[in-house]
Amino acid sequence: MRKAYTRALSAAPAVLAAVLAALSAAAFFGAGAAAAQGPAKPAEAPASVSGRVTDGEKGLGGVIVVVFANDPQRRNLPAARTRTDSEGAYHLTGLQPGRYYVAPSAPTYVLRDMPDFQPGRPLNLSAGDAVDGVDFRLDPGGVITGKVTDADGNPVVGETVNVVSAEQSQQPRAVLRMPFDPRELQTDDRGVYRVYGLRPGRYHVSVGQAEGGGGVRTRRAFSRTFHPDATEQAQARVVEVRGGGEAEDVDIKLGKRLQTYKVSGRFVSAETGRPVGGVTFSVGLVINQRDRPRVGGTYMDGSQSDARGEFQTIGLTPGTYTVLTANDGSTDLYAEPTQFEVTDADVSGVVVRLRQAASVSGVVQFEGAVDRQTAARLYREMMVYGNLEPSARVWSPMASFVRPQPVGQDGTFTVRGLAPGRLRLSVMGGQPGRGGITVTRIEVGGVPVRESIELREGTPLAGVRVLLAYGSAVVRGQLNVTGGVLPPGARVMAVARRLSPAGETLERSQRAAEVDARGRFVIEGLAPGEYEVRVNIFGQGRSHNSEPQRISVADGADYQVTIPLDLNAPPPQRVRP
Amino acid sequence: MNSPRTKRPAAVAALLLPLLLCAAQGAARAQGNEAAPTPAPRTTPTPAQQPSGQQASGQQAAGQQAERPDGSAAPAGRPERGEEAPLGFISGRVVGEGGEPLPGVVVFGVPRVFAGPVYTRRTATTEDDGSFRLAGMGPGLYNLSVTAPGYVGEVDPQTGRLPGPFRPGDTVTLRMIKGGVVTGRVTDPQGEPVVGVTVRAFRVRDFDGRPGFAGFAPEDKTDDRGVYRIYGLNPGVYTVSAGGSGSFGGPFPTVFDRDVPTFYPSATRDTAAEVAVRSGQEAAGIDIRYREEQGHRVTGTVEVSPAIQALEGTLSVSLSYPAGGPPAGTAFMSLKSEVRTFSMEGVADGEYDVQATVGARAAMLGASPPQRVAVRGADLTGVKLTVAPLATISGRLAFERWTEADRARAECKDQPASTPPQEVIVSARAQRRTGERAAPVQRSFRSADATPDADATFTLRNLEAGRYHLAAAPSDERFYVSAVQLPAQAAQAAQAAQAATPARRADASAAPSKGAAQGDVVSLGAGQQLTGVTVRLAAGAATLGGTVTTREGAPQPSWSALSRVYLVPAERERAEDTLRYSEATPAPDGAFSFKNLAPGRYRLLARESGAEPAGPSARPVFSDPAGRAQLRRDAEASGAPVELQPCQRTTDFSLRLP
Repeated sequence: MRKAYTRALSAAPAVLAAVLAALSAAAFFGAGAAAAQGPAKPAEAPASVSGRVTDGEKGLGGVIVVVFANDPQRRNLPAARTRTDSEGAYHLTGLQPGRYYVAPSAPTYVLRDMPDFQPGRPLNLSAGDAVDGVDFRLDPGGVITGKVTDADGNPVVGETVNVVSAEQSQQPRAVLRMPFDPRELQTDDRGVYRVYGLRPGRYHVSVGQAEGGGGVRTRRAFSRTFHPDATEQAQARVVEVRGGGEAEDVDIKLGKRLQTYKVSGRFVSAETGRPVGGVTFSVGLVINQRDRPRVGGTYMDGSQSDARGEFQTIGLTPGTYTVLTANDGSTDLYAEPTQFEVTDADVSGVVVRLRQAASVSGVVQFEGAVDRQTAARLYREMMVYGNLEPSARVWSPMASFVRPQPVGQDGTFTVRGLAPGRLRLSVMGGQPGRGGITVTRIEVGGVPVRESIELREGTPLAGVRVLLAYGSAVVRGQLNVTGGVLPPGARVMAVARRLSPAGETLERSQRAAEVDARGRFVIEGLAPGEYEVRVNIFGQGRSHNSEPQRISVADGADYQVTIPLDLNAPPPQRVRP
Repeated sequence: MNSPRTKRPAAVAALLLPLLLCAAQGAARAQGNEAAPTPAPRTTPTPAQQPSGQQASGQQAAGQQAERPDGSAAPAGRPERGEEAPLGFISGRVVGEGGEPLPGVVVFGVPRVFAGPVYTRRTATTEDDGSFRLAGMGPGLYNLSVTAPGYVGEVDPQTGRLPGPFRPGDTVTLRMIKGGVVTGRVTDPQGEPVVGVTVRAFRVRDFDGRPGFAGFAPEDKTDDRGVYRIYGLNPGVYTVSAGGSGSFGGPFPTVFDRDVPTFYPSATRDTAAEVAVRSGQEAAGIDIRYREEQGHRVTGTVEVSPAIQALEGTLSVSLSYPAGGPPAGTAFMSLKSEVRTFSMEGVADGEYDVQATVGARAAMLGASPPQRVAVRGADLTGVKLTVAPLATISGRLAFERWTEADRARAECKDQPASTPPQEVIVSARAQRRTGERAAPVQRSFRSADATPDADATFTLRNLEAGRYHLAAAPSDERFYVSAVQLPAQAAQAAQAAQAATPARRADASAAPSKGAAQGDVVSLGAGQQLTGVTVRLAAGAATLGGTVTTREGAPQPSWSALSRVYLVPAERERAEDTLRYSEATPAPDGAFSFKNLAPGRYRLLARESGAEPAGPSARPVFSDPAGRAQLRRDAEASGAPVELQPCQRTTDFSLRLP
């Protein structure tokens, strides 16, 4: 399962990046939920949505249909819910204008023609909208169930079962609905598992770790075994799943437990050799991908090095690992890339040398007229963050993520704890419906920076100026598709990119919004200026994009655009997310 | 790639970490508040078990006592700042019910009290013979937790909690028992299975009647047949509910998160049927007819002072049941935002306490007083909360001087002059308000624990305004608390000490000067940072253990968790000294034990403690003057006289019921 999941995600890196960004933002701002709910707005005429849920042509009664807010910070909060009637029809009323996702919640079924990452249809509702025909076709899913036992015949409790397609040629995609709960794949106290809502097809079912896979297990580990007791995938018995059917007794008999090992060591200052306590660390498995070492999975339990600088982690299976430190902006040190091998014994005495980190400081300033009060509010809500490409040998998402730092009352900021490398700075802030901020330019010592800022070891970089535009203009658009239909499960985004006076698009200065099932989109919070608006379509590993349209945006204005898109047009050009 | 944690969750985990730590701390506090802070009975490590380094430093310290202006000895054996203290280890075995070794069990050693912002823990896995060794542990107190799928740690029958805390040098045997199982089916009003709804099991109490909630409620999601199965449960009495967002929401939301939870069999929280869950047994057929009720919404705003807003922290609001248990809802919001509004969904009709807190990594910074609200058939809007800063109390630990004469006593030959400061728990407990009953676990800002640093300084954090009792508990039973001195008293004591001769002050039987009778009670304002408290420890503590028997001399069989044994000072001048009062809960076989006792004359008394079980805020009856007076009258009427000499160890006292 894990493998299929990973493959499905890697097929859409842009989407992954978007999801990651959304998750990060939501998590950082305090796990979202009610956080994003601003003051109650005056009531506008409510909107409604209706449609039908069918299995083939047959209406499905009693299916829950949910409307979610299409907002990274509120994505998981159902705004309204109903059940379909005996004909499969549903009607949801009383929705406040806004951006939503509509989706049936029928986990025993598989949704047809839906993207894996967020099954459902986006809808941007205006006051008084009555949208009809938001239909969903479901196919009955299947069940695989069985029991997992160890070499002595005892049940294996709390172990995760992997379900992967046995078809080599099949387009990789998620086997289960998303977002799925990994606990649904775990065996219970009797060793019994039950996976439901599977797409009809042929599957291999396994438990345990692939040979040489490495990784950290805080519990016992087993080498990978396929149903019924094969250690090689070639010998695995194929499990046939039919829609609405149940494959029973898909039992797995595991072999011996894998030995796991312990690693211990200490963090020391490279400068003084003294131990460093209170370092939050993780241990990551190093894998080679396209001849470039990267971290394939990290294990972190929130533990920190003690007053003697010592750290320790258990449960390592053989492999190559690296010790990573969290860049939480609180320390002025970063870890030298430190690797160690686990073969057949505990590893001790790993010394991780911490070096003086670089820092970046400067000021965020508004271009154009922003009154003092608004500026003060925006500064309070603002965070400076970034993405670091360290010049270290091993790349990991942990090392590249720069924790957002607040901005002072006068717009000053400092980001500490940076490893040498190239830093792309960004700013987030503003509140939905209250205007947005856009980075227009970044300067270091008065010289504009094109892509990223180079950081040298232990060198503070001062005098960084981040220039922002603030505005509350809105672009409402309609996408008209000709020459075919959108690929099933496509994700459609509208992007407004700000143009420099010379007419070039500015990489950082863009605002995006999802295009809904009716082709509508609303891009909010635009600052006055020249923009290029286009629509990008991602789906099934392919992408299209529309011709750009230029708009001159005045402060606080509201614009309408129509974007034509001919799917028969010459080969789609690759777009950057 | 097959690692159970791939890079994506790791990145998210990094972001969520401060929150998780706050939550973990909350859970730890909740657990800590369940019972008195006195360490569970433990055996004194024999010299052979002591890590050699530690012992060496103890001996060295004995000859190195420095006189201080206030007449106390410097805490010996402590290293200078920056100097490394010797490391020890905790080793032991994990066994099953029949004493059979359990291999592959993960053992965590976590500091008993979170010391500042650093969170360190030690981990080990048991070998095939069940043995483990947690190495590299500095002086201090550690809680050990054991995890093995389907099993739970066996609790100490006297406390209802896992045994511990432990110190480096201890050798421990931890027993695990098979957890219980709750299983059943969730159906909708039409009898169709409800698929993918989260079912949670809340332990209401253990089988001895102690409140049972500690941290998170175990949960499972129903499968395609509506079947759930929650395993690995601690024995006790549970309620089981389906739907709702749970205490803290979760990483895997469901469409049922905004519903009012339906409790087994098809009830509200107040009318829920209880389910008894026993070790290794299955409570089957716990079927829930799901009501599918959308709850109400509770919304409001939070006021925060600019000083708190300037801090780096997370603002959260919790909605809790006045009777205790896990919160009905939690909302997080940005501390930096200009408008701090909260909204909690899926709230059922009833009364709740709403409280806002501001927390940072492993520390709380501020809290609003809990506000009682009622939800009656409609959304509740306009709740206003104001966060006030929390107070701290800091001070130091000092040792009374231990003389040659004392050391010459035969009973005291193993007595060290000091104990590592990190192995003493200093605590503050709010004085009971008039008519106050057991408070819910969530209101945890009325008590605090701390362990001093190596330099003997401590800080008790996160206290709301109010009056507090200060107390301390050395984990080495050879020490007792001789006095708790507040700043003004500490100053007086220092003056007195300069005039006094060392010989007089060192006399263990002559009490060190203590301030007013209520000397260990302190009054705190909102956000006050009280400094200069001195907790004085003395060597030569006595222990007193034995059995409560019936008049006929047989062990009392029906001894319940509500019964207590009290040690009451017999000396008139000690009548108001709360440090001289002790309380113990006898085991089911009548066995009781008092440790860390000051030498002197006492009366020992057994009686019912009153109607209140040992809840999170239960405080001993002797914490107020009326309670002390009553205890003294009872003790004079029916208590057994006891005289304790320095270092005395009595383990076979037979206390007959009156």
